[in-house]
Amino acid sequence: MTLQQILFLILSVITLIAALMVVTLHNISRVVFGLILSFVGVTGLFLLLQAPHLAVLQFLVYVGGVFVLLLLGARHLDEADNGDPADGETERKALALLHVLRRRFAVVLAHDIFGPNDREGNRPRFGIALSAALGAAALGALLVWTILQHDWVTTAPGPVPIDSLTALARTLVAPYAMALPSAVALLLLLIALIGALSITRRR
Amino acid sequence: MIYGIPLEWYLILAAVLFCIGIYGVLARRNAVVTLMCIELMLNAVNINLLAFWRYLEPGGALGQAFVVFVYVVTIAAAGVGLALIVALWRTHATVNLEDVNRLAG
Repeated sequence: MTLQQILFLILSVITLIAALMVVTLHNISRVVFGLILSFVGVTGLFLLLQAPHLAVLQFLVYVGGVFVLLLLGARHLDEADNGDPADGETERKALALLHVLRRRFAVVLAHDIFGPNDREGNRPRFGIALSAALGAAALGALLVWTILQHDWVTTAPGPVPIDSLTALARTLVAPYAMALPSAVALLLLLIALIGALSITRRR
Repeated sequence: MIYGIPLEWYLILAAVLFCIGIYGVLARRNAVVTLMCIELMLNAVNINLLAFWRYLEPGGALGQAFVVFVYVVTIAAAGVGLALIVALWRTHATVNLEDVNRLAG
């Protein structure tokens, strides 16, 4: 087993466990932590796929941009939910958590996943969760079966060009390649940002 | 194979990640967490696109260009989605998607 194979396995385990944290835990700060961990794992996979520029972009866009956006959103909604953010509740909870963490980490996780309802009442009902899990598992089994059925490349792929960033830039601006889609994408981004501003504007 | 890692490994990882995201979107009721699960699914798509680029067409940069487009769509989705959640909070005072069952505010 080569070093890169081991690296791939470690990175994919990190990514998947972090993704499972996102979908199972109910403390919003732990969910956000799982999300950022998952993004970092995917960044490592991009490096393993020899796309360093996109790895940097992934880090900037997701860890720097989307993550901060979601964190601020979660904080905003959390504070709005609490009413008074300065009641020391969070600190008390964090201290209690630290205390228990020292003793039994697994118990905390189990409590977070299976424990009683949190104050937001966001725990999925068991039937819904079960059917969602069954549906997702069925889709996953179908996808994996399809992937394994197909006969993928047998020849060794060629090397990545040294100046792959130049190639990417050419692809994005060349009139015969992606220039029009790039312009449309930028327009989409502009419209989305203006739309977001106009939706959140206080009237 | 690159570094002894077959293409299937990446595809299966992306499929599993995508299904975890689907489970989250279906099961979770917090709108912000649902948005995060959509980001997870888009990440899985990105892994797929980059793996196909690296293993099948490493000479060009079209696969990387697609990933850049996915980024643009992701940012647009996160921005508008969060704006909608904030508006939802202002009108309904909840982020629980099951409490939102009216079209007219």
